[in-house]
Amino acid sequence: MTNIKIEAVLVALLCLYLMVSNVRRLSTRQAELGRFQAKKNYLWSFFIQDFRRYIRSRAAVRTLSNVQSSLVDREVRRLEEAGMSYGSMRSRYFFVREMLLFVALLTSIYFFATYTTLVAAFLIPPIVVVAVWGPRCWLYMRWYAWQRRLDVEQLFLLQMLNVGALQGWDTIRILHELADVLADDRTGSPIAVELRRAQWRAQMGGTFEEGLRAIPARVRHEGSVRKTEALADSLRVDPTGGQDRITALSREAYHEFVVDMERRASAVSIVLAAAACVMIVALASFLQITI
Amino acid sequence: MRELTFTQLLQSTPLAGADSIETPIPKVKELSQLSSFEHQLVRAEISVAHSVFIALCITIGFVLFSAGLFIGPLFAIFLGLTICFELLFAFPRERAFRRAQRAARQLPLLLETLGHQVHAGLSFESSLAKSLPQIPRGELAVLMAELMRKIERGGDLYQGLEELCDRCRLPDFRLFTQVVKMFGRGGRLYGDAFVQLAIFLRGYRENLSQLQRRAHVQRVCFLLFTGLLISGAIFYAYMVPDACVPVQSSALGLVRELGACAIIMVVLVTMRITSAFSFEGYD
Repeated sequence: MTNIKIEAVLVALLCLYLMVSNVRRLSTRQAELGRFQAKKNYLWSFFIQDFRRYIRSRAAVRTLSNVQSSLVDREVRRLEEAGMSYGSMRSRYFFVREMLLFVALLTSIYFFATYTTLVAAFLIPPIVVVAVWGPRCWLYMRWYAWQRRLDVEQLFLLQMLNVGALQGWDTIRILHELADVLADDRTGSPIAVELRRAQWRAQMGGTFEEGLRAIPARVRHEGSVRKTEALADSLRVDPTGGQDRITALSREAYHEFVVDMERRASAVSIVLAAAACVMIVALASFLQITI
Repeated sequence: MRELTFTQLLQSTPLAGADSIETPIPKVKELSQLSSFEHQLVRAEISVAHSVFIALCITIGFVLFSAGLFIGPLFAIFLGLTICFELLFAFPRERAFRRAQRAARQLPLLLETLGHQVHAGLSFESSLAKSLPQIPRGELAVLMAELMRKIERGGDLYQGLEELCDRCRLPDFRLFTQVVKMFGRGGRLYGDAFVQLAIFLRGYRENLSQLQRRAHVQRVCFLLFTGLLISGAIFYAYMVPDACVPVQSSALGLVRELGACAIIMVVLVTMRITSAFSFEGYD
């Protein structure tokens, strides 16, 4: 009898999970593709809610200004900011996340059925936390790496502008040339993406400066924002750049980079100290040492 | 076997009635044609076939799984899978990154030499050929020799440079490629640009190396501390058996297994996080 109950609960939970995850996947896909693609019309009530969420997420992606309350929206936005703007990467991410949740659900049910409630209450939360926050932590790491790369590449861009200015080239000309050169990029360089966007803006009737000013909306790194704005200001004052200004800008960026590296080196010690504390607790639970 | 230049290869190939002859030239895949996993192995200079590498990783994972069974099935699965995935994905990536970093450290020297040669009026290709013997043996020399071979065989310089960037995903190589492409297109002499670039890159790499060395020392200290802690705790458990609760129920056994999993997890996650802090955001 108990077995039948457990199996029934298992199947019911599985069905519920599949239904909810399917709806969530649909909403994500809508947010990705930017049009209402759903063809199956089951679960209308869920669907209408999702449609509202879809509109909100579209607005968030379009304006890129205010963070939306929904977690899915926030993740879509973070995926965008981590350079995973194309569909397959996003779908893969959401697929892995869903699968982890599914495995966590099954494991939790297994623990709940096997152990006493008290033991299960201690065992299940860590599994759920890992399943829910694991993919998000991974995404955060990717996002951080992408932002960091952008910062480093901006430093190199300024250096390139400096070299060009010393050779007697206009800043705007170098930027256009660089955007052309980076069109062949196969490594997924963030600066290549941003420069191409800025060039596209310039080709569509705007200016390169406007394109550069749009970058901070997608960037969270302070140094990166400052560098972009300084370069845009410099272009506004003098489209040819001005060698002294560009040299000063690249020197300042380099100094900032060194300070930032120092700061991150101290963050490493903090992380290691925290890890050592967790390690002691893990070891105590492994050996079951009584204190 | 003696290597042929592109012209010699053309002369030695019978052109008449070439359509009727089945081509004996082995098909070598371009970097862009490889799958991402194969590409990663090429970048890491792991010269075994990818199927062999996968089999090797799975075997090691299985051996560790068997060893882990002494503690418990959950721990065994966790250990086997974690180490197998680490070997499959993290190890080649880390190896490729280290290799690229070593090459990037030698790049300023090459740039300086190149700058002087180009300034003297030589073309980029001839300067590169003359500069190659002057740089010390290492990753960069190998990569540049490969680039030279491609150019000699009639390959496109820019395409070769893009491949170089693809192999060593560091901003140093991207900057180098940009300078060659930009100033090369304009038909100007870019000797000065190379020298200025070399000065910047040398300072950048030296600063970065200092900070990375410090982070590396901290990480090694952490690993030593972990090793000492684990061996000390096991020693304590054997010396004072009363201090440890004997495993009587399956729940306590599970807690023990989860503790063991957490130890491995903490070490791996800490290594990842600290490398993300100390590296440049690449890979």
